[in-house]
Amino acid sequence: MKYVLVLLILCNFLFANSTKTLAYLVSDIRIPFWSIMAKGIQNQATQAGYELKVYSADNIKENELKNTIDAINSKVDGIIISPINSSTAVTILKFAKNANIPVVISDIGTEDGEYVSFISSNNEDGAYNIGKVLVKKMQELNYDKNGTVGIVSIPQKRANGKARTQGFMNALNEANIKGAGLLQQVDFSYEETYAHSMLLIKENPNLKALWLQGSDRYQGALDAIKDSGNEGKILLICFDAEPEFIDMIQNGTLVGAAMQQPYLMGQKATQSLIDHINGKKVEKIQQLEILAISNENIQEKLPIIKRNVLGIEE
Amino acid sequence: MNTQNLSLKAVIVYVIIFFVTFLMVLLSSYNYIEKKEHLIQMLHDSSNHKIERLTKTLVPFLTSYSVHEYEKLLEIEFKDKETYAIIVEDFVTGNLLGKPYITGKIRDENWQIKDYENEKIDISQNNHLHQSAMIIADGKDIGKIHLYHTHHFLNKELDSLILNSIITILVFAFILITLLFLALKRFVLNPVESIIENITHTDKNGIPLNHLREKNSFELTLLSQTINTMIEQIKLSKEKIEFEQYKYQKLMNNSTELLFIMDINGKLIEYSKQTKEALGYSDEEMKTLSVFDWDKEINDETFKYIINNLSDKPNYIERTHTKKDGSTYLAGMKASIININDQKFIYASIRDITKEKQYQKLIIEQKEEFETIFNYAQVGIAITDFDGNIQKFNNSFESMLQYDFDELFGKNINDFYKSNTLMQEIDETIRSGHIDSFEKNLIGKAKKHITVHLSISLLPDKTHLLFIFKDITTLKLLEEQTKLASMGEMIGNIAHQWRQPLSVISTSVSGLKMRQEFGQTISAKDIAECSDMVVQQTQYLSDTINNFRNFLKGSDKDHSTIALEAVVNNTVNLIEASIKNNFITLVQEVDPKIKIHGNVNELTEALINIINNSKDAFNINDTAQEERYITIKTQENRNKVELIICDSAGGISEEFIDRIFEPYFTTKHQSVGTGLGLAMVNKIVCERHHGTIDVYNDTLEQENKKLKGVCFKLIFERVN
Repeated sequence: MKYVLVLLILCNFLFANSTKTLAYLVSDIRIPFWSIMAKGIQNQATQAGYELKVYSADNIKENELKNTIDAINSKVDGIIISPINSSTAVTILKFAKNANIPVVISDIGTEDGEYVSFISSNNEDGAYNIGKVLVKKMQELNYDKNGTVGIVSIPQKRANGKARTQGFMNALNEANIKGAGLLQQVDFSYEETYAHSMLLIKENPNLKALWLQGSDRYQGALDAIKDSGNEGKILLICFDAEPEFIDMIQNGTLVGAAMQQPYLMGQKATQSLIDHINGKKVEKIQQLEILAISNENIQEKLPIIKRNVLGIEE
Repeated sequence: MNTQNLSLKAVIVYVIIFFVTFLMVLLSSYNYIEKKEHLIQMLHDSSNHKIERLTKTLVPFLTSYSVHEYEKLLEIEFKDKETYAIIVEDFVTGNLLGKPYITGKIRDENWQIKDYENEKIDISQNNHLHQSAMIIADGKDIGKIHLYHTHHFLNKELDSLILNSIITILVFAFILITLLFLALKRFVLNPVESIIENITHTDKNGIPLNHLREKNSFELTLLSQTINTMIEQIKLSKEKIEFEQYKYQKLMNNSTELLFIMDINGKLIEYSKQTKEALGYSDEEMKTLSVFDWDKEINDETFKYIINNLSDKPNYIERTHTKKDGSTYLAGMKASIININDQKFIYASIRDITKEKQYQKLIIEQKEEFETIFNYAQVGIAITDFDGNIQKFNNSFESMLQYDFDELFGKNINDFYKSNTLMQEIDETIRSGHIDSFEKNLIGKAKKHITVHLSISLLPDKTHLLFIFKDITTLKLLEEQTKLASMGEMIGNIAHQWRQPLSVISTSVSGLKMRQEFGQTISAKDIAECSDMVVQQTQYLSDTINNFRNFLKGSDKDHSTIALEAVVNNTVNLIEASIKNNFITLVQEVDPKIKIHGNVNELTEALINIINNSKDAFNINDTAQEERYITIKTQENRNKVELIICDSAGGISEEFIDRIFEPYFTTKHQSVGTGLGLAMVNKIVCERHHGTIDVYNDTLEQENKKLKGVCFKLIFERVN
């Protein structure tokens, strides 16, 4: 009896040891960007033989903390986080550190704490490249002489917000195209996007283009252009991507979009975590390219867009 | 002065240092205690405030699970260095964890803020102060906050405060002490030192030399004024004492008398310098002397007798005193009893009357002598009062006036004058003390006219006048005779000088007469020539007469600047004929530039008398005609001029040469000389012209002949 019990415990240990688990703590899985990233993580974890537990906080800190505690309590081997914000990330990292669980941060970032690697998009380069796409379009339309560009931005206190604005403005400055002002999003609603867009259009008669630093509320901007009677006159260009952007770019509704690659990012984060668990050296900071997609290159980049941006797995 | 005593300056410095230090320490201790309490209270207040604030601030963070946010917030609360640790027991997150979630911030050993990692906090270390409070939301405890403060910095601050206080005490104490000392020095010490310096800067009698400065504070000025008044009083008293001493010493030492004080036993107590010198003892010896040492003739009995007869009024005693060397002197002593501090002493003033006695004898003898002289003098002497009343007279005065003694006594001196009383001269004598010899005519008994030389002197008693009469009646008579003789001689001279022109006139006129008598034609020209000759000669005669008349009249007594040459020429004009008649060769070497202040006629008379004296000598000595020379020379000697008249008449005997100017002195025969000629010369030169006459025998060299004779050198003041 005694031997049976020891054997069972040993078996249990061996079994338990053979199934490695990763946890993905995401702020809100309902957001396509994060769900695509989760696909990339899942894909990469599966490929490496890891089980993945996905915890979505639905953008609620309590949930995020609870998810963290649950993940820790479930003794996962590693955690990938896409936190609600860089501040909550600190608490997650602290808890994980206390539990001695390695963490890779996929996008958003953290204010403090210890982690294995931070995977993010190169927002400044991406914004610069998409800025160049807009400049080219404005030059084609001869908008570059007197035309100005308005910006509806994500909060500028965010590091990615500042990087995007900086890169985009560098491109405009190189072409001597002036900015028409910047209005920051707070609640990321349609109404807010519409109102900001309309305000910029009305206050700047020479406004020839709007740059939306996000992707999900593009309709607000389009409606404002239309409602102000500037359809076809004011160009729209976006950051990030929505599935419908492929058609919109192709039909000219959008001049272009800077597309992050969440699927690729998820894969990269997962691989980095696994590498760390396996004792490999991992880069602390890793930045992925943002695709500057316009009508000119959309056909060429479509397979990449579908997989890495839209997470459409073949 | 006791030099062991501390100086006022040192005392003030010590007192200032003690009190200032004491006050500063007291003040600083009070400040320290107050500051400490204040800081502790502040720390507590701050802690309370902080914990109260955190219990409110942390609520939303705890309820929203914003762990990192409130952790950052806690870090902010560490801005004050006293905060050691802030620990939060997060019940909300703890609920999720299923165990207490304790987080927070704590200082490491470098006082840097780090995450709290459940380490134990020993509140005994670093004087930690622990406070805690529950964090409550909607009436439910959601957490607990613990705040740890340390007293370490408070203690350090208090240590720093102590150090600063010590430094402040030292600095302020130093400044305060310095200022207080300077102020006290300026307003108290310096004036006091000045007072001390002035008071100690004294003369040999210990009296301050200078007055104190009176421009200080009221009290010091009052002190200075009081001291100055005291100094002044002391100085005045000292001066008075010194003056009294000076007077005493002067009275003692400057007295012509020998002064001393002795006790009633005859011991010498004090003595004057003259007493010491008179007795010939030293000061040390004088201190041991008694009356028996200098009065060898006195004994105890006699001394007691003398003492008993003395009173506070001087008694005159004559004693013989013996000096140290054994010599004696006669002492006229005035002695009296004086009381000093109820003790009797004998005060004596002594005069050495040895000489006085001798003088008294001498005076008596001289008086007798003067009486003899007075009575038997050849000149008349009379003594009158200021009104001229005759008080005393001598025999000569009696015989001169030919009155008897009784007739003269009671007469007034003016009674002997017909007119022109002597009151004017008496007044002058009373004013000036003396009137020298002047000529006056008196009328004696039986209306006898007497010519006198009168001198009046004020006698030393200032109440009487001394009249000295010298009867010159006979002398005047002889002078008149001399004058007449001179006139006779002048007439002779005139006759000599007229002889030649009268001969010319006579010859001219008789020539005309003869030509007429012989029938010769006398032309108008001849008559004119003869008339001119007569007129010319009569003019010469007239001039000659004028010259003699001017000389004999002698009316011009005024003195003026004259050339000696004029005197010589005038003299030669007057006696030229006489000189020729006596075969005398006159040699003149007279500088016409030499001038003196004088009268030509008077000096001419003097010169005539000298030349006449030589002429008489030639005749008396029967000098050969070819050896008769008279030289008249002038020469200058500094501011004097000399008129030297020398003859070759053989000179004057040396035994008479000093007497030749005495009146009536003559070596000639009565028929030739009156004895007044050279006396007149002396009078004219010396009295009238303030000159001098030097007479000496000399050898005259003329025509290679050496001839003996006499020279008269008349010396006058030169006039430029």
